[in-house]
Amino acid sequence: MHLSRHVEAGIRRLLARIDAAVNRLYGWEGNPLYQSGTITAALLLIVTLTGIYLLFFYRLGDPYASIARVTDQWWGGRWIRGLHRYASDAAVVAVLVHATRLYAQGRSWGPRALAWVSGVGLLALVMICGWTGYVMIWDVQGQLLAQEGARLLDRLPIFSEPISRAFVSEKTLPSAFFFLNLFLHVALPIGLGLLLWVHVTRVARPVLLPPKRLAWAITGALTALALIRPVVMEPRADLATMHAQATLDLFYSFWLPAAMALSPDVVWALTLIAWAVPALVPWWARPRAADRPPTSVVDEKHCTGCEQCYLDCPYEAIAMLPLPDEGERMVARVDPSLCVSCGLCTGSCAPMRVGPPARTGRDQLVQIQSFTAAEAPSAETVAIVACRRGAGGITATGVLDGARVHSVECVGNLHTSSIEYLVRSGVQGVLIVSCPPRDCWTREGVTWMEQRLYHEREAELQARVDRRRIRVVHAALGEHAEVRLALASFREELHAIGQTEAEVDVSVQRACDTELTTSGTS
Amino acid sequence: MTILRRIIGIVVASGLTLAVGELSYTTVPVGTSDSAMVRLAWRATPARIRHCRTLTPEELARIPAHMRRTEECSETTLPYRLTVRLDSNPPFVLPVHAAGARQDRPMYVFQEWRVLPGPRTIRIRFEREPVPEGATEPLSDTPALLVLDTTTVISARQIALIGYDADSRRLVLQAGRAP
Repeated sequence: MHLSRHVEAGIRRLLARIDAAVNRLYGWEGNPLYQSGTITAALLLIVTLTGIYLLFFYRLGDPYASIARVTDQWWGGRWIRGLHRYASDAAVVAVLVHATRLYAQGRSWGPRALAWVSGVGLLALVMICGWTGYVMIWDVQGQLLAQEGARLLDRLPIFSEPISRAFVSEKTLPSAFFFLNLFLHVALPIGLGLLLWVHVTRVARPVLLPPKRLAWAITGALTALALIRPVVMEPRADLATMHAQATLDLFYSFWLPAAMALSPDVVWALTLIAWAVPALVPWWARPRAADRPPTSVVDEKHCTGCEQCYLDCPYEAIAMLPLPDEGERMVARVDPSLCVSCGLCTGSCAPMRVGPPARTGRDQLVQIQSFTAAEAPSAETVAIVACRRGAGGITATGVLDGARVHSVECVGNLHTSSIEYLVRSGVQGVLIVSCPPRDCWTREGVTWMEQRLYHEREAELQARVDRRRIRVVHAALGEHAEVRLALASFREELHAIGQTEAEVDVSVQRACDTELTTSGTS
Repeated sequence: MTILRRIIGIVVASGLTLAVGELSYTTVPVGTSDSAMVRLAWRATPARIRHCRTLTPEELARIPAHMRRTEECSETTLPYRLTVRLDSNPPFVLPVHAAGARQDRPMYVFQEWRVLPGPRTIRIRFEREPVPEGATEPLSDTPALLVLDTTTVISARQIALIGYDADSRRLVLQAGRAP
């Protein structure tokens, strides 16, 4: 097995436990681990807004004194500076959580490589922004960062004069230095914005901000931290003194003590390795060609041109194109270079003619038939359809408290005809167990599935199906107990509703396609 | 969600937030408190020399009439040799060339030595290499030889900075401020 698969599986097991614990405390809606990407964007927004305020007080002539003046503003500047600093710190944590999750979920290669590599670039820019930000203060940490940066740059054969010479005394420090540093600190966030656009460019409906409650909770917590632990001015930079110790922000300056003790060549080598390893994840974490899931295909002959798969695709991998030799008739066509094989198009196609091979609506129907045929549905039967990757891990056992489990790649793949078939073939109820919507591996699978069941989104669940016999629950991989509780509760409700009659011949009919008639069990 | 879970949730969130604050202000060692430093840092104009030779009649004949000059010259700079001896340590010797790909920029010296605090004897020679045979006399503002021979007391964590004063045209010791 690929080494990366072992690492991914190990991290996934750890995340499953952490997710389950965090969900118990905050619910999946409030689980910040599911929102690490949007939280990063929100934190960077806070950093930008507080940074604009601080910029008004910054003086190039005496940076340290100007920041000291802002810090003395007990009514505003002090906590705004604190919020600026702590939000920057939290952004690093959020980025690392985000990257770890996506890596563990195998969402780093193939069409997602652009998002991954640009994400690594975003982190690099954030780190450089932090670097320039601390140099702006011109305290001991700023001095050490500037001197170490100069020492490293001097190793590169690009400057005729050693930059380090600028930092030998206050007299030699060029007046343009603080201007250049300020320019970088302000200009880099513009680069961040552009790279963020690249980061989400392959996603049809990028979500950039977390839910309001979560956003306010995080802002409130960081504001409270800024008030409880206000920023303090560290000693002013002193170029004539060797510093034995320094108070560092370890989120941005963690590398400084080690770098100062090593030669520039070693530091450069370690830096290159430290950035190359994550940047190359899309290549070394990519499964072998034989193990990669096949991309979706469209049966153009039966495509009605309804555009639903084109609208539902989260990765803009489907385009509507005219069919050659058939005049104006438009059909869906999948771009394999953009398709991640999420299979959401499967559930959106009423004629069941699109999806990855062996996962189209028709294939699902055949699998559901086998599922029901294996055990004759009875009035006591509850069928569970569960997401393979989450859903409390119940797909591993195949049975949960006497209820058989049908595993699917993602409930967003699920064609409503399969649900209809299950209900009409005589099972008392269908429990659909998905991953939490915020942690959907296919981004919008849970959302689309719920809209297809309850909000008439194509391909909607037919009106003739009794919705009371269908229950959707969300559970992370580690929430096995929660699924059992949901099953018990669902059974009680079904008992109150009463029994259902099985149909002898289940006819799953689609208005836009030929009727599919299959034999059901009675 | 029970009240207990809510309380635990608040405690966990507060703990993580405080942890961010702690990691944001962590005092770490970045050096030793029982050492000092001698730092050499200066910039100086290198001496320019010219090598000229007279072209032979054959060479002149090959050049278009309007471009003919009887003498062909190339200009270069003379390197310096930096020799530093700290106390009784073996001397440190470094050739210092003019900067730039064509060596037509000023010379820069930037060297650092960690030393023990206390009285230190510092001997520095910054000496121009001899003029090659056939070259013109060097043109420079920087003297052919700069010498500093001094003993100074350097406090712990102090940086003794030695630079070149272009006005007095000599090396000067700018003792760092004691912390």
